[in-house]
Amino acid sequence: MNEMVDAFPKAAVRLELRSTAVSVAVGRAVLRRIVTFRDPDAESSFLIAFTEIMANAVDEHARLSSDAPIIVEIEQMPHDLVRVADAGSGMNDEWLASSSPPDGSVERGRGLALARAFVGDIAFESSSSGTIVSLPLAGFGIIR
Amino acid sequence: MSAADEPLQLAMSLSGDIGSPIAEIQVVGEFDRLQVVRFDETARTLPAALVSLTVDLRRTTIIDSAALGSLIRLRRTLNRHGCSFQVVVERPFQITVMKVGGLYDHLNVRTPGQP
Repeated sequence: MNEMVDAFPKAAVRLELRSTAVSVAVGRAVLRRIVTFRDPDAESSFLIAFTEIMANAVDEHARLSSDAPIIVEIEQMPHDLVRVADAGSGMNDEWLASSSPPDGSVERGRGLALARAFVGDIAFESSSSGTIVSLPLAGFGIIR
Repeated sequence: MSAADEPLQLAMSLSGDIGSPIAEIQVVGEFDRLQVVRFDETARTLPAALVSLTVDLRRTTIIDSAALGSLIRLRRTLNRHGCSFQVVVERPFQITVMKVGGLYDHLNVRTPGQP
């Protein structure tokens, strides 16, 4: 049985996306095709968290003028999850610890708070060579 | 094509008197950073004499932080003209976006059917 599990491809889908705003929508479209969401609200909630993480990656690559792709992996085993990896300079602890939205009149700075609010088990692995964000699908849906 | 796959649609309607028009913008589909430019352009066509604007987000499937930024910009512009502003949401995820964004009061968010 363990051999069967090990033989199963770890990432059901791996996407290498150009670092553009369009790629955020492309990533969402792929997720809609291969994830069966519990209901429309679960779908919107998960995809907003995904959108914010992808947008952060796009912004980070733009800040560094990096043409590296953003990697999106959709894993089926042992737990369904979506992983987003960028090639940025990493998130600092202060930014990761921040979860409060800014004052109402401030236009930016709500992305992380939204991602955390919708996917409570979101996990970050950050270093000076990039950030990997894991978004578990548990409670939202399953991979087809 | 499911509703979630539909591109953003914007519908603007005007009512009220000629000298004091009331407008509503209905947003349908994915209201995200890719679509914010279209929303901003639509908002720029609003008449200067507008006395009230409602942005109806009940048929959106995505509202991201860039969309919230666009709504904040619009609110700021309308404030300068003395125009009242409100946002209508209904679905649980839409309500969460507004609450987590800390914008319920600032954007004068309304949820029909809820106290």
